[in-house]
Amino acid sequence: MQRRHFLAGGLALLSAYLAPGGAWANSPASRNSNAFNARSPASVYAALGLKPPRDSDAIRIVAPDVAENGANIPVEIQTDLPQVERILLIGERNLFPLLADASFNPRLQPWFEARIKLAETSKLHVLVQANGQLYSNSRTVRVILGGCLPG
Amino acid sequence: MNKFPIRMRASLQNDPDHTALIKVLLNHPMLTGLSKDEQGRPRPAHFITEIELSLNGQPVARVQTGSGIAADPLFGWRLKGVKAGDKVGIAWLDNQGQQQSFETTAQ
Repeated sequence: MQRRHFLAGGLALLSAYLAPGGAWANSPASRNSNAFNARSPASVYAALGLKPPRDSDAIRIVAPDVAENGANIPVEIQTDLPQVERILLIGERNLFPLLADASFNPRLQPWFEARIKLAETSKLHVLVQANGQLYSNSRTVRVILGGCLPG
Repeated sequence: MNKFPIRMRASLQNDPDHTALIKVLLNHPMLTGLSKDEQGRPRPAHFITEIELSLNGQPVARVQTGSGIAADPLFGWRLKGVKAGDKVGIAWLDNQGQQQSFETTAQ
């Protein structure tokens, strides 16, 4: 046990040395691995302790209607909801549905862009937590060639 | 360590909020752990788990990611209150403990 602690401490020192002043010199904020390992949207909600969201047209999702390659799908999210605190992307039929969990604050415009993988044709759910409330919208993306198994 | 540099731009939008459009292109395989190599052996999961955006050294945004983000990930934010010459930084960490960071100047 002590030896293990000693080794872990040594590794932490080593990585701090390799990345002087790097953002990860200190351990990152706690990650909810259960949510990222969850295999259904319902389990993602449960792992993150999310209440059922309210549907909202104030969340706009820009994504292709048809994606030839599910391995690289551009997505843009924009919302008029005030005080956006968090934006989550969930691919409904992916083996691991939780794609990203982005924190937001008043210094950022309520806009986010990412490129995602979708295993097959499915809904992309976007959850926005704003002023303590959870909202969602979704958009169906038709996928010609699935994007998860090759990568 | 990743030998490919991060590519990042922070373009001032000349709006009342002093917004900078930030686009970041990272170099990473983003492997889910479900794929196999040429010999049919499973390729272990290898994906970015954390990304942090900073302005003049202060963290301003954080994203936790899973393996469902595309390989060589692109991310975009619109950050307010940015002046020409401000330093915009990005850093990522992956599930194997690798990390990389980069800084650019807003213009």
